[in-house]
Amino acid sequence: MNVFLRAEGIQKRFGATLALKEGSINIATGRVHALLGENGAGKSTMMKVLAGHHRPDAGTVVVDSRAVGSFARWDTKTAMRMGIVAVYQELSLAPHLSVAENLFLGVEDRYFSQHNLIRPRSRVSAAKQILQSLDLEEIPVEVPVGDLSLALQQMVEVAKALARKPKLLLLDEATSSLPDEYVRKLFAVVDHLKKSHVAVVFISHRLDEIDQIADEATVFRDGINVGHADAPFDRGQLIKLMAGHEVDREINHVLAPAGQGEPIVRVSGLVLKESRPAIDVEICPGEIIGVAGLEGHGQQEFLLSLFGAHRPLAGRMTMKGRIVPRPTPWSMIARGVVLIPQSRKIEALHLDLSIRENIALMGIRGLSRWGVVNSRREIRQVKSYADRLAVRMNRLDDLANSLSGGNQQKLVFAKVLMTQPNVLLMIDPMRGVDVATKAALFEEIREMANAGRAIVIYSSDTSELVGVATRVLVFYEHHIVRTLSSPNITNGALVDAAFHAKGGDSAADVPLVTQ
Amino acid sequence: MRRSTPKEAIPLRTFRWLRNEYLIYPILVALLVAYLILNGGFLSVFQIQSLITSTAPLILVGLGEAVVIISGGIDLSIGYMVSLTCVVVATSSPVLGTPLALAVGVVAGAVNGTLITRFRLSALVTTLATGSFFLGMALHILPTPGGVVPEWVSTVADGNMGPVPVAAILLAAVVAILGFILYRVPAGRYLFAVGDNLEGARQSGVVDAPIRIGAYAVAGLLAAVAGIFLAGQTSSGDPNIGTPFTLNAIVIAVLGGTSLAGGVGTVGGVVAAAFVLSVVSDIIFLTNASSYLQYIVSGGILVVVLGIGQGVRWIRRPTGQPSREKVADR
Repeated sequence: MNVFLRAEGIQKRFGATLALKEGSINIATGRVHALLGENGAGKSTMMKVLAGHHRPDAGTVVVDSRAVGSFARWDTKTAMRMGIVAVYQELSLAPHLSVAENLFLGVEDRYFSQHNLIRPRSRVSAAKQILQSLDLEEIPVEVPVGDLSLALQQMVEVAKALARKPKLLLLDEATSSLPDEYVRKLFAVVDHLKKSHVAVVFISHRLDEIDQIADEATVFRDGINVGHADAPFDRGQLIKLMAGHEVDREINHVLAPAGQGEPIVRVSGLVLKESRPAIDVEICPGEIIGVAGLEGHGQQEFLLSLFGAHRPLAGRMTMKGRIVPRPTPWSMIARGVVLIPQSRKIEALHLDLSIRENIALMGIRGLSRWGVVNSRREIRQVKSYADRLAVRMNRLDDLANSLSGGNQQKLVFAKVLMTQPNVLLMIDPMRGVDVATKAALFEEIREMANAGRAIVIYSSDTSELVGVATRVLVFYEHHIVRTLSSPNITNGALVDAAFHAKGGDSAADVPLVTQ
Repeated sequence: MRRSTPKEAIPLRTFRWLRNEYLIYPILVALLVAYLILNGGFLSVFQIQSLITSTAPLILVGLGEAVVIISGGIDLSIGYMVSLTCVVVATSSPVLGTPLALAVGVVAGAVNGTLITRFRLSALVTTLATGSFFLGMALHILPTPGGVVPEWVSTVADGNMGPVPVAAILLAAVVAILGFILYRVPAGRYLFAVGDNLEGARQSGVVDAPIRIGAYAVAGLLAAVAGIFLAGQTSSGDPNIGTPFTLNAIVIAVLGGTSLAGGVGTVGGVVAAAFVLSVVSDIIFLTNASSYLQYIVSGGILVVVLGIGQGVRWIRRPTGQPSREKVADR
């Protein structure tokens, strides 16, 4: 086993937070190495240090048996020259440039430039070639990247990394925004890389994926390497290492009671796309409704319509028997319907505002009297929700920016929970959330359902719905093709239902461009 | 080999006060000390009074501009609104002039805001265009300086109550009200949220249009108060009096720690920044240097303050990432 990269005693501080205390990892060529840990454990920081994105404060890195002598010049370009390339959970593509332009950004000279001039036509053919080798012919190379769906953008990001011919590929939650069919394609690529002796480091909170693809795993906790394991993994042990204590994973397999009583929300005649059948749904108190289907088949539009953030072509919504005339997010929140949007950075969080302001934003009206905010009550409430969700932070007045990705997601949860909603809509709420937190959040969701609230979850990871949802609506081409009820909700049934309407055809005709 | 660079390990808190919004206070203190020394270690009551009255219009436009910038916009017409309202006061009847000027300011600001939010025009171009319109109106009403300004307006703008300038009382009220709205009323929270992330604010149930239109209207109102002040101080209407205020307003807002990207800014910083500008011009007056030096020095201060703020970020984030990049994820 050839060690490609060895890092020891890596330390990295951001302001008052010590993100990495004693990070160490041994990465071998031709192996897939999973990097595990809870939110804020320092995984992403470690990745960014290795990729040259951050300069470590202390520590040693040895690449290809040559020590990196000084970190003074340690940057992404240096790392890339050594063959280290990273794909992060946040996209780094230029949205207005075409797919082909993005793929070769900065490495044009390796592919198709002559005398330092770019030849657009050979760029297009080179781009097509790369995408073909990844089984992604369906991505149009001359379209601006921003017009592609999130999943396809993420795949372009992977292709971009491969265009740099890495010897070590770092994948930081690259699958978290991918629907199953693309996860499969990505894994095929990883397998191929493995055979050509490329080392892969893989961060994911989906333990199934780790089982499926990783050869070994390193676990981080509080910025320290706390353990190493080889495949096949003992799940319980991994989770114990990550959390530092036992976590009852089975907790999310206890079902909430099915919906009962008068529906809170009734949707009728909802048309999301021209000449598609209308959608009729009743959402009852105590229900946890899952929404499933292939990426881009109207699930998001459905939830956004319920929240008033998307205007459907037709349809009417009634709440507790009364028609909602023109739903807007503002009026829906006032009626107790809240949404956790898909993209926390674009749609949910204010990174330059404080943690306190972020959590209080939605519920601030309820904390005011005579139009004046009651600061003391605000701080008390914000603190209680932050503690309940165990947000890892220093002070409430720190910027949201200073938190790790998973903790930012907890802020979004705290924000919507503080409004004490009757109906909670969620689009991929568990993106980047670690196993223990996920269990806690699902527990929170179930408690809400028990208290008579209604919950609607769309998740691109269908396995999240299993054991949680009391009913699953399966979408295909912007309408509901199947509704599965409690005992029949299994991973297999969901995947079958999502593909069934296609008549067994391959995933090739998945719509490429979302609006 | 283990190495550590102490420069990189200094926590954020050490540098907190070096961010522009805090940095402006020590700069103001230093300039005041310099002013004091140059003046022979002595400041007369009159000098302090005139410093406050001459800074008043700068503070007003600086705050107005800051509110707009925090909301994620920019107002390049603010100086011409000052001119227009100044002219309106000097040409209307003594009783109606002041309320009319205030109304003109609010309406002008609301027009800016409506064009920008409802019709989705670019703030930069819209306010450039409306600014030209306001200037034209002012010149049409009163082509050359003149007109009559009521006595009581001059008293408010220039007079003193005992040792305290009336302007200081008015300014204190403006700062208190604005601070209360910004920090204690939900609309104030929404202003920051809309400026930092418009889409996020919408998805959190903030109705953005009234907030953004309101920001421009507040800028118009404060510009009108500044215009009335200037009319009172010069006892006449001048259609060109506001022209330098547009640039000054932006300089003051940014100097006071307002982020041009929106969502960040403080009232205190802006007030301090306005005083920095007028102390600089007083010092230049005191040293008998060319008055044009004032532009060079205030430009220099802006670059230095922004530069130090940027330098702090650069030291903290030695990989040289752009400052606006969100280092959110570890």
